[in-house]
Amino acid sequence: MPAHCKATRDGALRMRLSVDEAAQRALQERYDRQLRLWGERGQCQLQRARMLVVGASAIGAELLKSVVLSGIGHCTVADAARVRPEDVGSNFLVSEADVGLWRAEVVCEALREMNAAVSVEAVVGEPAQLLERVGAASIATYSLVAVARQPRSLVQQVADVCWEHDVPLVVLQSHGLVGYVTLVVREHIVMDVAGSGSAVPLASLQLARPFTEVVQFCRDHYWPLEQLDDDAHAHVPWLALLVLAVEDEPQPSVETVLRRLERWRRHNSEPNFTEALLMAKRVLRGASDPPMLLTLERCRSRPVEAVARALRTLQAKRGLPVSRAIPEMHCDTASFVGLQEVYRQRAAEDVAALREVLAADAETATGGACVDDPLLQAICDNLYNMACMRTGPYRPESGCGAGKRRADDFEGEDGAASWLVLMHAYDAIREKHRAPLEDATVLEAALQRVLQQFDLAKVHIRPARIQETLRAAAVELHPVAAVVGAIGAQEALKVLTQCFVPIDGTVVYDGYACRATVLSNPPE
Amino acid sequence: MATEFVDLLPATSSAPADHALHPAVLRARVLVVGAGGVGSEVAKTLLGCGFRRLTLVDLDTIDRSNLNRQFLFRRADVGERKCQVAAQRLREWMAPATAATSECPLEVDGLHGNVMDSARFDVLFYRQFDVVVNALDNAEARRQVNGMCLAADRPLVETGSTGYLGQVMPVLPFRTECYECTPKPPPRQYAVCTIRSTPDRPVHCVVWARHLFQALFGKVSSDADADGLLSDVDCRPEANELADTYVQRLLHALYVRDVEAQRSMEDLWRGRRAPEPLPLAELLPQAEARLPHVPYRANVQEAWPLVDWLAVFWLATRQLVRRLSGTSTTANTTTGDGDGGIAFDKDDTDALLLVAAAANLRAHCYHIAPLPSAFQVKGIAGNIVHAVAATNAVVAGLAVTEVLKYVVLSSVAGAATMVPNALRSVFVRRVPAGTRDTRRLLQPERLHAPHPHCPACSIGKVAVEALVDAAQVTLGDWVRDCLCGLLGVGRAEELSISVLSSENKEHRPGIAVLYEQNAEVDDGEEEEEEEDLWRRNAAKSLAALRLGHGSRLHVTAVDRAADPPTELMMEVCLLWPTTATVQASPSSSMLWRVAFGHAGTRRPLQMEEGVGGSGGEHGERNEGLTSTAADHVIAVLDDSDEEGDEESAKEPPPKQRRIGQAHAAHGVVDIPD
Repeated sequence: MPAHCKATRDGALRMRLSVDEAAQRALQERYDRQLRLWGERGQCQLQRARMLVVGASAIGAELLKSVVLSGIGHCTVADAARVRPEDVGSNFLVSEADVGLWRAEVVCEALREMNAAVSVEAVVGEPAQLLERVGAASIATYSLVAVARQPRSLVQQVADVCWEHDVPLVVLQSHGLVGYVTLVVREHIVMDVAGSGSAVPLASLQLARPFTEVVQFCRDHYWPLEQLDDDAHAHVPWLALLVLAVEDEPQPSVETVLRRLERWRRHNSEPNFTEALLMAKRVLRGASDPPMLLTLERCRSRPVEAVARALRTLQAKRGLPVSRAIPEMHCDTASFVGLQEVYRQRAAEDVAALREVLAADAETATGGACVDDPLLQAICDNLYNMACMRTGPYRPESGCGAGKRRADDFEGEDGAASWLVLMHAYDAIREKHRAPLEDATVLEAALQRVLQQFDLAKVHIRPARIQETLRAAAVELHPVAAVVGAIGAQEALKVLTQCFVPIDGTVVYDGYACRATVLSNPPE
Repeated sequence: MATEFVDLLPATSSAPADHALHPAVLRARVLVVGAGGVGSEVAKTLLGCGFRRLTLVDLDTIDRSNLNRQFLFRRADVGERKCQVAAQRLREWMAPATAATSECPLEVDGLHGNVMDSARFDVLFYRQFDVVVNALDNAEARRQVNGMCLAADRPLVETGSTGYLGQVMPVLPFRTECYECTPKPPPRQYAVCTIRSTPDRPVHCVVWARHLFQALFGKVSSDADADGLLSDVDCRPEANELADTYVQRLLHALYVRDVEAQRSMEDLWRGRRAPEPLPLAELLPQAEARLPHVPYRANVQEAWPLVDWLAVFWLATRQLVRRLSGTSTTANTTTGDGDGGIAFDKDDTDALLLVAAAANLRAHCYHIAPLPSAFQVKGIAGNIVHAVAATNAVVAGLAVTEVLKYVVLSSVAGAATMVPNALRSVFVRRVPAGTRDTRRLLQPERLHAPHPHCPACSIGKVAVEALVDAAQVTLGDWVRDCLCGLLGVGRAEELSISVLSSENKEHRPGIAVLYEQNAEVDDGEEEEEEEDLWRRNAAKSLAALRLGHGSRLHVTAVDRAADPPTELMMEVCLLWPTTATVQASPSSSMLWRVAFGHAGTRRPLQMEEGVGGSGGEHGERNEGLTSTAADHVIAVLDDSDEEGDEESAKEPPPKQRRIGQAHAAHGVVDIPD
């Protein structure tokens, strides 16, 4: 079973495990290298995540391998095929002895062996019944759905359900040496655009309007400055200097504050003053709302939108929540620990105050939506590191941008969109004729139909690429499956951990040139 | 359009079974150096593409922190040798499928060993393979394999990955840029005096503690405190000394005596707070009471109170002393204990906690905040690189695609000349790069021409076979017979020979100068020194100089009489065939034989190191991505645990050193490996 997460009293997200300390330690060690990338919160999100993967050929297997190794909570693998001889040697998760068995079941068994902490489940059946077996309604329960090398009709069906239920979707396809990954998110909140271990955002210290407790702390410890001896004077943290220089000004101007700091400074070899002067400019000139607040207020997610509105109320009442961490600075331990504690307490009070605001108009504000503590804490922690992204809905032509695309996407050096339409044209024929295609004119005719359908009739597709598509015959090549499956896994992990901004459309992989070009699919 | 598409596809669209694959792929022998995150992916993907003959080399054993990405390993394998488990798993996967076609049977070998060992992994070893793939995690080993591939004239595909970033770079020896053509940023370095006397950031304390570990528990033979970081350490545990007595003696020396000594240097503390010794009399009893209760775990992210750090220091020292006393008799390869010392390993809890505790106690004395957590110390001291399975798989897939292109194209008659144009260096980005119109997640770049002054690939490379006993031939003989007689260099007025690698582990690669002959009238002192070196070494036998099979020597011969003055640089790999063929009495120059390679060409003397790596000399650059932003990924991986953000990796490349020049590391220290 996946580990569950909760916010502990000090606010840190910890993995609450029903197992003993040794097991938790084992998990920490296992995931050490990635915890440093997306942090405990990201890992926690991942361990709670449920993913559905439709398609267990090489490309699906490569995607599954990467997310299972990273410790996703649950995976459902749905696949309509039995293991064929050609799967062996191409799909790493199956071997000779498995020929004839349901492929999804074999793949699940291998995944279990790879990471016992992940729960995996296989869904098998004839192609026509696959979605039914998965249960279209249950799609809403997944954190992300991936569809790997499936017929176009099935992809569209799954995509429509995902869109309706706000479930992120990853579509993967490969044809010989080319392939693509499409990400569709109706709305995705990125909690941490910079990654774990990045610097504390300066704005989150709220130094333009310092809060009462930090002002009090600085007055108690460092004021009046002129009474400190030289040593102590040189060691007043820059943060405290700035607070003291700003605190009694209702609308502090940069000039006043700079002048004040210059006046207090005793000589040039006081690095903390240099730092305070530098920070003063950055803090006071950049004083504004977190860029995200506006976006969050227009969020589709009811809980997030409710929190955003509560933040506005809080801002008017007592200011936006402060960071509970402070940046590294030159000062003695006592000063650092003291300031750290002041911020930590204030941050905890801010979260509590925000919770109160939310509770006060629970009915109207959230529309009954429940805002849980980890979400509240995460938003307060990441207010300055959040982003919200949206793509348009999935359509075969999404990546090609239906008419909006420039000819360059087809005819330029990359010509990424031309590969995309060629793959769609080939797939369209394949759905009618199972046998490998031999006749270029059939493909060209299909291509013209697809271009027309996509409203792209005027673009020119290089004949060499048409030939090559024909020759590749949609074969699934192992190195391409490895790259495309892993790119799919990277994007899935960015979405699931809510750390880093994922791609905003389709990435087309061209194995001839070893190039992957992103074609965006903007929301309508 | 012939060159747009490389014909890599199987002949039919059905199964990628043997008959459908290119025969060159089935026959090609591929060496994968490193069986870790990228290495295991590369090996798997090679087999998936139809390669049948694969050799894996790795010196590591499996650690729990490998399991999040190294998919060939299971929990039960922890502690086993990586290369052997990996080879076994790959054989299990592929053997049944390939058994039917006996034409090209599956050969997957795992060799447990260190590629730095050039006696075992000599040029002949590399020459067995058609392509080499590097899947390594450190610059030193990358340089070694790069050098060996150049000497053996074998193509190399270099790989690297960190977080969501990655890089693949094919090298065609002497035809395209090699790993050393672009200078790599040096490991993070700190001024010695900052580490020793005036630390003011947590990282300074960690670097100090890392050196301390080496001095206290590292191998006895190594010159642990070469940089004089620790004031007169006599702190190794003495025989028969009780561990607890030792802990107290150590704590007093490090955190009272030394700190007081520093504190007394008033000049240092003008304008900053002087350090304060730990009040041990008061703290030790508290720490002792905490001994049974402190968390003894290396992956903890929260800060601990001072007393707990003291207790952790105590517990870790106890453990290490116990282990150290066992090392004199047995060598334990899984923990790195042996040779009378313990090798630092970031995944060794005792070692890591000692370093973390020592760093924290020091940070406290020097009023440094915030105190680093065990988790952070692990990141700094272990040079930990972020690693996720998905990126490794992308990098491996790209690397194998390059291998495939190389093998297929080289086998087609007349197509060999296309190879450099068909291969690509590729950068894996986290955020699409480029203009708004072409945003690329994978950014290919054409291979550049070799840098004309690359220390590795612009010089001659020659493998010389010895038919004489190393114990009976002196360095002077070798210079006369082999260098002058056989290779026709060395008659120049200035000649210097330095050791790149040899049996002698104490020669640090690229540093040890064996021989220098300088006709120029210099100031007396220096000349005397050189003559001394010459006199000392010329009469010594090669065996006495610890030169033997696999030794690599770097030779520089300068001819100032020529106009303009010229120099010739080359690398000589010494090979001894089996002893049976070695003749007993050396008497003529016929006793040396060129196995393969060339001595290089003379070129105008470089007055100074003008090897800045400016784009102009590199030939065509692919536009869109400048080299600076991208070049660094492989380098960043080596030496940084920091987020290798593309934007932050744009620092200007440092000036390049030439091999043979001393590192001149006075004044800077890096984190020892």
